[in-house]
Amino acid sequence: MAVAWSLPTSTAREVCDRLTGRRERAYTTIMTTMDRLHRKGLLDREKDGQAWRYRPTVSRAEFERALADGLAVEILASHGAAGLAAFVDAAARVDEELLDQLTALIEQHRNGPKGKR
Amino acid sequence: MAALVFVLACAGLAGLVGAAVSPLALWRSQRAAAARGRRSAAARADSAFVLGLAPALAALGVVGGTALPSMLTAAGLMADHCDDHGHHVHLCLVHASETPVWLTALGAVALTTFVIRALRLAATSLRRHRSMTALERLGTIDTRSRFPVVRVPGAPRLCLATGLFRRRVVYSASLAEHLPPAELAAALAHEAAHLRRRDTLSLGLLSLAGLFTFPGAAGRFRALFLSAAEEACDAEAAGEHGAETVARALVAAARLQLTVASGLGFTGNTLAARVAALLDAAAVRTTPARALAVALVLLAASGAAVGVFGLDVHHAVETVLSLPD
Repeated sequence: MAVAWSLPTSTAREVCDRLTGRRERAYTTIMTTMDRLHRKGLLDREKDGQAWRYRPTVSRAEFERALADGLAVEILASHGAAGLAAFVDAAARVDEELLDQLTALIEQHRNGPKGKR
Repeated sequence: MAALVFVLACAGLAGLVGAAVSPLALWRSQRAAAARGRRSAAARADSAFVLGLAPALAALGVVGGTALPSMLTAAGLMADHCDDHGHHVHLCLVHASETPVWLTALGAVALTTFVIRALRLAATSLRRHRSMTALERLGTIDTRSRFPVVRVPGAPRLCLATGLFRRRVVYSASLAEHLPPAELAAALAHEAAHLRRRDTLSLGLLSLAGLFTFPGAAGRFRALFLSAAEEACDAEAAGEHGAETVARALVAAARLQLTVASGLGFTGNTLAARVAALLDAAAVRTTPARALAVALVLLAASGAAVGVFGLDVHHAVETVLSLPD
């Protein structure tokens, strides 16, 4: 995906040529991976001679936001488990009415003794 | 074979002691939690932590004391005292023939349960570690403060303290678009307080200690500790940014949870209690966390007691196990 984002459109061969060193992979691996990304809706494609030419359907920022959201939900589900303490406990419910009451309570407190219960 | 029977007997004994101590410790822990107002949140968190460790410490202490004489005998460091055991049950690594069958069977169940729960805990921790690592790779790190702060992309969901040893704060950068700077600073101060108090490590130890309790009790011990620890961190953040700012940040963060993730939010009672505690000037007291220090002292004391009274514990356990006969 990183290579696909760096080019307007790309073929599996072009991606393969750009992956060098530790990132180097076989051409068939790249082809299969790009086909899978297309099936997942992350890459759009059109025929270019014998090959498929791919274009990302989401920007890098959009992709990272979506990925981060999925990871955040997983992480928040383990609030209170070993090694994690969240500012908000996302495991249970709270309703709008209670939040309004608490906001009013804070405002009363801020307004001083007259506002206090 | 003798060693296997001995291990199973020890596991059975640990299961019995853990099961016996758990309800007592839980009852005491709930009473301590109810002392809101009389004791500071930090002191209540300390109590909840130490009581949460109690079943594990008791089980390990009794098993250690019981196993010590025969371990020393097997290692050639102590004379074999087994000839003195004609009158009651005999727990021994060297001569296991007299170990009660019911204790061995109980040990098999206890050990299996322990291993399954330990594997589940390890798998959950590993999964969360991978998610956290992947998430942090997407973010940017700020190392200017005492604890690194990692800003991650995505909806304004996260503001948390993490890491047993590599302690850091992780929060959604988009929180800055929804919370005024003062409230965001208060939320981050709250998380930094968790890290100063080493609450993440305490939660890790409570999870391990929970392997020696009933499955439900482990979660309850953690919840009681965390509830008090949250209030302690609220108090510390209030000391830096003002109680009302922290209270407003709590409500705003809870409101965001409702907005960005339908069905997610926080426990109404817990939230209300935290806000009420912040607005009660007398309740906002900051005291240092002593839980880990107390736990270390207790661990050292237990180890010393096992060393000094090991033989007595060994015989006392054997006598108790002989009572059914």
